[in-house]
Amino acid sequence: MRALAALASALLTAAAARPAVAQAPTLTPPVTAPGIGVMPRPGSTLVALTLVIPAGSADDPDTIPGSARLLGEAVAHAARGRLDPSSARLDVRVERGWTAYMLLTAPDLWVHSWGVLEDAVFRGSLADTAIEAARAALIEGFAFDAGAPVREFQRELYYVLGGAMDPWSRDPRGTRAALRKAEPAALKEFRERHYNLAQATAAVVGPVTEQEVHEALAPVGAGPLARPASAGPVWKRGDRLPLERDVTNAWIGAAFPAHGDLPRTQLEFVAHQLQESLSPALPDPGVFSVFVHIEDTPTGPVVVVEVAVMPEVSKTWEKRILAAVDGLKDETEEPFFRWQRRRFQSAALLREGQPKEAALRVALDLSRDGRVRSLLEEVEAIGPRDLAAATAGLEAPRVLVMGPGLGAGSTDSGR
Amino acid sequence: MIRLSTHSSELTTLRLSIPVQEGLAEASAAQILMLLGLERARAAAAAIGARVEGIRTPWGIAYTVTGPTADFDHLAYVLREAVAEPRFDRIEFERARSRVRGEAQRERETASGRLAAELRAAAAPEALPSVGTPASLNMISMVTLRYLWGRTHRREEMSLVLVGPEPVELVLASLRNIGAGEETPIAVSTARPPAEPDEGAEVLRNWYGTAWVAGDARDPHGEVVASLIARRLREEEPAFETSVQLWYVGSVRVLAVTGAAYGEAAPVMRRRVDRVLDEAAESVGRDEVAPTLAALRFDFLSGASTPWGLAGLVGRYHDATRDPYAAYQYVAALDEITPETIGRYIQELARSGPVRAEVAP
Repeated sequence: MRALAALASALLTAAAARPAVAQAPTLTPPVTAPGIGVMPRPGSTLVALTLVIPAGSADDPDTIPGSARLLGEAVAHAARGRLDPSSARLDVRVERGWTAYMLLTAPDLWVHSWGVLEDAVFRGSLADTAIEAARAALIEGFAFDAGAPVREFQRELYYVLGGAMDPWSRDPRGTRAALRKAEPAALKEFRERHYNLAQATAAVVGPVTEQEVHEALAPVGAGPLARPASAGPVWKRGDRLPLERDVTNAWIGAAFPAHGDLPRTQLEFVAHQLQESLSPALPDPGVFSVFVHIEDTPTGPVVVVEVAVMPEVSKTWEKRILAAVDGLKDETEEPFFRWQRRRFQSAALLREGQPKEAALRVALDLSRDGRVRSLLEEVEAIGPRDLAAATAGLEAPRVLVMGPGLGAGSTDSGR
Repeated sequence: MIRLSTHSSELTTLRLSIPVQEGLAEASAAQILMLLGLERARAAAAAIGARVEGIRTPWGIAYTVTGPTADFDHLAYVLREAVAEPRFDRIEFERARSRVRGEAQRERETASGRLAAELRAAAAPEALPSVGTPASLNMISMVTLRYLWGRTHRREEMSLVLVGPEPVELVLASLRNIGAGEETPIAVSTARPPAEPDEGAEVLRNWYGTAWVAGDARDPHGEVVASLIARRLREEEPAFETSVQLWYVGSVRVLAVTGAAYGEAAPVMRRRVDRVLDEAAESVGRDEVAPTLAALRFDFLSGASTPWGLAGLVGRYHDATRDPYAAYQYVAALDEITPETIGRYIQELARSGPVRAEVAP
């Protein structure tokens, strides 16, 4: 038996033995910022840094849907051009309520890489070449899905969640026509208005210390953070919304609004349980996909169950989704619950085993709630009655069904 | 056992590898054994939502399980299930064999698979084929699997990589009775598979390749040269298809450059493939080498950025060399590479001489 307790740090040492790249001397005194989260992992081989801007497609100007995404991709393109591709990789995600820049970088170069990203995001001139490259790539993405039924289903589902008139409900991708005509000046104006260092949040995961992160990132997250208002549930009356279409699949979107004060970890547990109970170990030949997720609408969180099924079984699956939610309200048996909680804990930890995922979760926690959850403790604190109560607290669902031969509603979703 | 205790993510990863040497008539049996073990491990892991992987490596079988550190006992149980004696279940067995047969036939029925097999056989003639033929696969039975299992799944032959905070004593105690007992037979099967006619593959283009024995896994020169050649071929965009690959064949590492071209372009393609190593030697410069080294280093560190990725990399280098420090030595050796060392490495490859293979329409 040979113990190699130091191998991971040895790998780091090997990486750090390269010719040193000068890091800018820091003149800023140590500070702490409410919008910065640090998850030190001394043995990790990379640093993951995520920057969340609390603005997304919901903030697009009405005349240019897709602006936030085009800007995000253009900024990422510009930053990638300046980052050393052999020591840093950058991804960007633009959602309805936020934009995240996710950087993975070598430990000895993370401060330098952050400097490049920060400049590209907040200050650097947005070159036309970067905008045009991003524009071309995004427009190309529309090539194969014009008229795809699943796109229509998605559009209608988000109208149900956020209301047809709310800008939040629009497709974050925008439209091909709007992307074509978006002027660089409009993107720069968007950046001026929404990209603010102090209101952004950031998280760093890797072989770093709290102090060096705060020093390097200041004044990011200095606050006040622009946290989304969390009102009551999005709606209290359920509904069934059939969309008759002559297509070969059927799609069901069942949306259950939650109260804004329900702890996030409990809500994620409910979503995890629904995903498990609707995904049988032996695959159901009538179901193509099941996806349960939480959407933070402008007025509160909603648990959304999306399934794609064969039309013949769509009515059965509507009932199955509602029965799965009802079933969770009665799940208070302690031994059974303990296994469920262990699986939920595993899923959370395995996701966070990937530094990029951990950094995104921490930055979004800060952006949404102003604090970073201690996942392990919060999961362990959940008891069987908490899960049942969290499920019982969900309001009546709105169920959107799209497909052929839907006929009259078979679901009593008003409850 | 290799213990890495510094990942600090509340997770524990265990990667257990079992060296397997198949006899001629057993080719692909280890793959079936692995699929059956993986099925059992997945069933055991589902109770706690642990992550399980099983792969047939060039050196044997490796199972990796990751889950919360608090569930260590269950993670050890998952591993014990993975390497337990195969239970007779005809449906599971036939399903696994059918999957392996599909993979084996994919290699036999395509020109690229044929070329790769011929190059591997020429570069490492002493290595037994790891993929069976339809006839040999038909001969594999549960008895074959139990014999192979008893011969290979022996605790003293296994190696374990642990990424987690558990004390060594606890880990060893948890895996105390793992695998086969001592009463099982140990001789490698000498049975031969039945001869069968070569059914041939449908070949439309001329396929040609050269390969060199590329040295020890701890020496990254092979990866560097492969990257440099790949970059050069990418930039040229020739009128024919080319690829560069590094294989492990038995205990040997092989660097292969292959090409495919229609009739009139075939001579140009052959010359290009033949010349590519010499051209790499003539033109390698510091400007090319530095970014290639940095990219390889970053790829390595990216692969090791999760607990299961770290265990996989360290375990793989250990399996290839039996040296627990091999992964570290590989990363450290990247810092020693210069255009001059690459030039010397290429000269050595050229001196040992390439092997060649061709599959023509």
